[in-house]
Amino acid sequence: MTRPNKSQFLKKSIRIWTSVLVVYALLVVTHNGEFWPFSIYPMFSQAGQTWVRALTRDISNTTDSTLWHITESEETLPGKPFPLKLVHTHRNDLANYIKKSGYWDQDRIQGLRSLFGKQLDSKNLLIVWVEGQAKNSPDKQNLSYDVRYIPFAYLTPDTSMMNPEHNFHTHW
Amino acid sequence: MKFFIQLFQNDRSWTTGRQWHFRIVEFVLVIQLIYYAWSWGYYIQHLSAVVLPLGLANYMDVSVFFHHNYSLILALLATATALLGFFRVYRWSYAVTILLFHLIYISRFSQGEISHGANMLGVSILSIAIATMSFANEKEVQKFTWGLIVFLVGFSYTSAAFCKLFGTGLNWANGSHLWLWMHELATDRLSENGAFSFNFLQKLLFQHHWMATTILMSGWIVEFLGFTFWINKLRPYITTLLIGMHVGIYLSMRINFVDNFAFMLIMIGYPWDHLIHHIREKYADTFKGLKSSRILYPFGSQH
Repeated sequence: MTRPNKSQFLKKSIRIWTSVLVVYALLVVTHNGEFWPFSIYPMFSQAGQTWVRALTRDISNTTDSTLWHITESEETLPGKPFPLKLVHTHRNDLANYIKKSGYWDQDRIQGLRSLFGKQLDSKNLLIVWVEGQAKNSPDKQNLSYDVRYIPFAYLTPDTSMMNPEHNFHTHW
Repeated sequence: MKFFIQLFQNDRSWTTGRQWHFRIVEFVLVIQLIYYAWSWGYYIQHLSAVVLPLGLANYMDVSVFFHHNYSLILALLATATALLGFFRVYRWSYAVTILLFHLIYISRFSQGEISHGANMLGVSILSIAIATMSFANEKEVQKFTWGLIVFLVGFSYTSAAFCKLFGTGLNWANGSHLWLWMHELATDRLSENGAFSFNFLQKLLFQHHWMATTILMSGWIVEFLGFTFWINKLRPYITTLLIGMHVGIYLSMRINFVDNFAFMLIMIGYPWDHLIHHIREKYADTFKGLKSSRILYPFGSQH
């Protein structure tokens, strides 16, 4: 090992540290706060905002004619829960895929189908857009919330159908 | 200047205990990187469309890595360069690793989700990459790396606290916000497992608004104090508080805290070099004739 010079080391360290901070700032400012591994860590920073997640229901054995019916309880959705761990798809990927896809062409629909792998060879699945919203209450202390379950897409082995009855505010 | 002297450990000798500590942390980082590279490499193969371009994905089409096992080739190259870096074979190895891992990350998280789970791993490997390229002396490499990682850990927590202040304001700590997030994360669990039930603490939080507010406010204050991680004497205390905060997040929102962040906190937040020094002293006879440098740097150190 070469013998270190403490003063030179410190000067050089400060110079590199400053450069790293400048690059960090430039990258996050020009890339909406994210340029891995640099980030501004904004998770949970906007409290009380409407959130959107996704659920999947297996409706293979359901003959429900009210496919696009909006409910306020998960229990009243048609079919039974389809756990994503069966297809090794991360829950956040499905939720963000439907929330942030601004348009739905054949590629995007195929992308949605690919999240369910071979399960779609034999199952009919209903993808549900779940929306949580704070209720405007004059008493902030007792702020409450609404959760709505809105069917988003119906996927079968040979069909893909998007909900024609609801206008989703995608691409947030 | 005092701040930098302390940050880069320029007022302390870099003992063998510290070198052991550093190399153990570096080893764990490399193992984590290899694990993520391969697990994401496999996951990427069943993706088909880019929904959210992150980082370099703004300038290139990362969907090319979705097919023909290309993401696995990236994982293989990242593994090889990380090992070359760890054994100090080439100075630029870690720099290539971080670039390859960036490509894996932006491919894996092209589906809309922005994950911060591997950020601490990323900044740590980046810190070593910068240090190995910039310094010729191994002790300087380690001192600089340590200082930069410590700085970025403290910075990440405090900046997150400021994001909350700017994003929402002082009302951020209103317990009702926690209720809303608890429902959001319950939906996530339901989506993943097909079933979900709130735990005892969550039920209590739904019953008592003040309790939900207190838990948010406590977490926010601890997060703000993240910058005290920069001070050697205070680091073990803020580390304990931050781990407590992660436990609180896990219990109230069921967000797993045994991730890279918490692990890194435990690894670098406590003075493990003292324990290593104590063990080496106590078992001096057992380790007699065993040279630390041979174990720490089997293929030689940086110059």
